[in-house]
Order: sequence, then structure tokens, then C-alpha cells
Amino acid sequence: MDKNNTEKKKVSFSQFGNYNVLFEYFITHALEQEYVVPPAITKRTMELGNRYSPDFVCSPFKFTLGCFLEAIEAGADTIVQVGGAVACRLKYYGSLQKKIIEDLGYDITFVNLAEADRENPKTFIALAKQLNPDFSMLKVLRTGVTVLIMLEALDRTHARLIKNVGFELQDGDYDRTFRRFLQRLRNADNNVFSVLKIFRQTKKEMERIPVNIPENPLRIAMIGEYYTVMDDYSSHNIEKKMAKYGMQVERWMNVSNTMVHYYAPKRRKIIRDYVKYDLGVTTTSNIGFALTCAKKGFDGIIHLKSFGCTPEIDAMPVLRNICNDYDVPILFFSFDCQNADTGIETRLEAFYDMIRLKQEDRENKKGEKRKK
Amino acid sequence: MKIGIPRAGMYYRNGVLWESFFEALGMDYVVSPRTNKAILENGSALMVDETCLASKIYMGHVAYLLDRCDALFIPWLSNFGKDGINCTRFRAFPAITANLFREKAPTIITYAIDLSGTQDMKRAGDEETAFISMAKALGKSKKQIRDAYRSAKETALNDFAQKIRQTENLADGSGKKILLVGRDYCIYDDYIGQPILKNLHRQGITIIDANHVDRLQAQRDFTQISDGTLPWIISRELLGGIVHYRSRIDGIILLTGFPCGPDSIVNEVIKREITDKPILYLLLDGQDGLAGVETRIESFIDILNFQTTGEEKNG
Repeated sequence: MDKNNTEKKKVSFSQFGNYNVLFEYFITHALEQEYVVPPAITKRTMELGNRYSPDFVCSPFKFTLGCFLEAIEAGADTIVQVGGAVACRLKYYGSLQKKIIEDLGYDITFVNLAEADRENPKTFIALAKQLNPDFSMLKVLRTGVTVLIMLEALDRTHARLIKNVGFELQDGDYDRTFRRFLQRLRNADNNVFSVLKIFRQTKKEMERIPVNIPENPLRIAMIGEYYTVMDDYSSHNIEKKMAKYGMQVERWMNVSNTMVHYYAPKRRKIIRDYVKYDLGVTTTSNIGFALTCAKKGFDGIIHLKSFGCTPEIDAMPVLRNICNDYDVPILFFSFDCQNADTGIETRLEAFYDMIRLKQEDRENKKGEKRKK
Repeated sequence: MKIGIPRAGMYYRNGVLWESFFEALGMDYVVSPRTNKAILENGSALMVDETCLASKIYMGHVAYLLDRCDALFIPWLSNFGKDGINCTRFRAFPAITANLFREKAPTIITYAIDLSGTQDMKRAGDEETAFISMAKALGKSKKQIRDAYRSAKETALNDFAQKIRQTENLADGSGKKILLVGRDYCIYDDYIGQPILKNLHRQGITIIDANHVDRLQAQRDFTQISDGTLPWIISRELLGGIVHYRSRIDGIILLTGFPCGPDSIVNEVIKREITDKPILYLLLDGQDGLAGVETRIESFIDILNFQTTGEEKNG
């Protein structure tokens, strides 16, 4: 037993929203390796990533590279980078990041999931073998199912959090419950029922948190580029900032919705008045969600991306047209690694004032109509 | 019906094919003029600030053609199967055009290349199938289209083979030779690459275009510089070009329009992998005034000259 322990790899993945919990669970339960939780993203992470990255690469490259370097400092000897079937730069992140880390003189194993081919399951097995040469398929499948349910539970719970956190009577109630939820997931037994139990328990706890939701809260749809939308540090915690103003944020984009529930042809049908020919990557889902929310009468849309994100830039003319047609204000944010919080807050505040006035205006008109 | 073809983007790769195709069909077409200041400024005003220079120019050309033709020819070129993918922007142009000029509702004629089939485009298929899908929009029979496509494809292939032969001759010749690594729509654009090419010519430099390389060979060769995860077809061919001409050149110029997505990563890979040749990295943003760039080119050539004389002395 001891011998096995010393041979275990110390695996790490970048910070990305709250998904590290799931990744850790998979690495420790399915592949039975040690997991090094990458230190939370700080200014230093960003500076590290910035220093060794090419100048105008999109910021998720810099963030993930910074996370890898800090994880290596914390003792990781194996780094995993995603890649998958996406058509944007992400697919080539791993190749260069591996080179940069090697050129810095670190001797690590870099597992690049971009090398997997969706049509060839053998490539996935080859990658898993890099992490554990004699992994058990049974454990991988069993943990796979647990993690899938965890993913669903995590995303639903987080959606509940951002929808309500702005209206809690006592600051920090939701955050505390959410952190406790993550900790429980980490320690959960490897089966579906234990995860479901945790999910239901947290749901009950969250429902018990006293909130004061106004009759017509300002409803905001949040869309944008995958990493920036989901990672609190990259998005300058904008979800929470909006919540503080009392805006109710709805964000469709999360890992379970995009990877498990997403059915592209349906979204393409929704947006065909605006887009006949697909723009690629996450734009179809974003435009689709924006249009659905605009039709539902949302008060505003907020679009986040990292500087230079090609597909999301391409979506902007389409989003502008949608917002013109349905009279919904939209706020575009483009983040690189240098933004100061104050600028963002000023813009957010102005946006809030505008949609609040718009809402008041609308309600006054309704009132006048009723009087007549 | 008069077809308008923007002289930008994939025109530099497929222009011969497109023009011979419409000629073979006996259709009337117009190609926008070479990029000028008005086209660039128009495009910059239309597109989001942080779009790459080449895309701004592309949209400038589209705007130029808008009132000068009956239908815009904007293909949707996305996925070339095992040969790699295009930058996502080349699949975005039809939708961007339709949304930017919505009031004018321009007719857009397009064909879709998506060999992976994952995007579930109805008109997806190989190039010939994709061309045939335009039959209805162009008002021609499928057979007419097929014949026109086949003869045009032959012309295009011959033209490209000719270009490769010329570049090979240049590479075998004498003189200072610089390998120019950049997307053809940057190199041959009057507001990105052309002023630099002229400058190099003036200084007696032979320019080797890394695009002019056997594409099948390049698809095998690029793995000498990058691993197989490199997704972009043009980047793969450029790396293949570097591998092919590497032994016959004195230096490399990387030419990029700001902020090109693929190049932002690939250029860094080139800089880290190619250590035996001097490399000059030129990033152009369409601003007026080339004095700064010219100074950098001159000192780069000084370095090349110095290297040779140094070698001679040592030898």
C-alpha cells in the first residue's frame, strides 16, 4: 500500500469556475492518483501567465498557464489541459503551454486532451493511461456516472445561487451554503444516490435562506465566452456584482448545459431569422439564449469575453440586431489581464441605472393605461 | 445577375478557382479593387474594434461591392476534415454581412465546406458537392455547375503549381533570401503586406512565400515543428513551407495582422522551435506610417548581412 502511494502521480488542472471539485473527484476515484488543487487565482497567477504567454493570445490561455505554473510550484508533476472538439484557439492551447512549461525547465507530464479524437475511443484510453497505466475501466465508468450527476447538481445549485444571492437578507448565507455543498461533494461516496442526497439537502438549505425578492426583479441574461463567463476571477466576479445591485442573473452557459443538454440544430432553428450560416463554437448557443430571453422580456443582456475572442466578436453584430428588435439594452465587456475593477463597476452601474429607469418608465406607462 | 467577389480573405487562396468558375458559366462578376484607404476605413468603422485587420479589410470590400452587384459571393469555409480547420471567422462572414447590412438585405451566394460534418450544415460536403449546391441560387443546372467547377479547379491547380515552381526557382537562386510566413490575404493585401514586400524588393532581397508549397507534403511536414493538435489548415501549410524552404533561406519574417487568433499562438511556437534562423516578427494594425517598420526591416537585413560576412571570416 505504501509503495503504491509513493508512485502516485500528483495531477492538477487549471482553476475553472467550481469544476475543480469534479476533476479532483475523477482523478482520485477513477484514476486513483493524487490531486493537487491549484491555488486560487490571484494577481500573481495572472502575472505569471502574462509573463510567459504570447502578447495577444486570449486571456484564458494566460489564466490557465498561470494556474499550471502555480500548481507545479505546489508540487504537481502532471498537468492536464482540455482541448476537445472545439474549433477555436483552445484546441491549440496545450501544445504551446507544454512547450512553455518545458522551456522553463520543469520536468512534468503534460496530458493534452486535444490529442483525443472523438471518433476513436482508443485515443481516450491512451490519454488515461498516461495518468495511470493500469487504470480500472470499471472504476472509470462508475466514477464517470457519479461525476456526471455531480456536474448536474453543481450547475443547478450554482444557478440557484446566482439567481438569489443578490436578495439575501443576511450577507454571505448563500455563499456559505454553496461552499459547504462543494465540500460535501468532495467527500461524497462514489454513487449516484449520495450525490442526489447532497443536492436535495443543499436545495432545502438554500430554500430556507431568508430572501427579499421584489415583485418585478430586473432580469439579466448573461452570455459570452466559455471561460470568462464561468470563472469568477476572469469575469471580475461580475455575477456577484450584478447581484448586489439587485439584478437577477440568468446564465444558461455552464458545463452541463453545453456538454450534456445542448442540441445545436434546435438552437439553429431558433435563430434562423438572424443566422442562416452558423458562426461557430459557442455563438449559436449564446445567440439562441439571448434571443429567447429577449422574447421573454428580460431587462438586459450582458456579454462577456476575453479580448480578441474571435467567435464571440463575430456574434456581436447579431446580438446588436436582436437587442434593437426587442428593445433590450446590452452591455459588452471585453477583458484582458489588465482591467481595473473600478472601470467595470462604473459601466455596470450606468447600465443598472439605465435598465432601472427603463423599467420604471414601463411600469408608469402601464399604470397610466390602467387609469384610462 | 452580377456577382460581387470581395478581393480579401479567401480570395487570395481561391480567387483563380472562383473567377474561372464564373467565367466558365458565362456569368457576369465583379471583383472589388485592391484595398485602398477608403475600403480599410469603411471596414474598420463597420467591424467591432478588436476584430483582426484582415477581417476589417474584408468587410470594407463587401461594403464597396454592396451597391455595385446583385449578389455577394461569400463562401462559408470552415472544416477541411483531416487537413484541418479554418479560423472561425471564415464561417462567420455570411452571417456578419447579413446582420451588418440588414436594411439593404443583400443577396448572399455561398457554399459551405464542412468535411467533418459535425456542424450539421445541410449543404456540407466536399468542394464539388458544395459548388453544386449553388446551382439553384445561380440559376444553372447541376451539370453546368459540375463542368464549370471541374475546369475551374484544373485552372486553379495549374496556377498554383506554377506559383510553386516560380518560388522553387527563387529559392534555388542566389542572393539574400527571406522566407515570408504570413497568410496570403495579409501578404498580398495593399494595406498589410505589399508595402513591406516593396521595401524588401528595393533592398534587393529575394522573397520566398511560405504559402507556395505542395499542400499534401506540407500536411505531413508540419509535424516537424508542431504536434498534430495544430488545428488550422493555413498554419499547417505555412509550417510545412518553413520545413520545405528552411535550408535555402537566410532569415524568416513572420507577418501578422493584429490581432490574428491563430497566429497569436502559432508564431510563438515558430519562435520557440526555429532557432537556427533569424526571425523578424512584424505585427501590423493598419495604421498609417511605415517608418517604424522600415527601420526594423533594415536592421534585420543588417543582421542577415553581418551573419554572412561573419561566417565567411570564420570559414
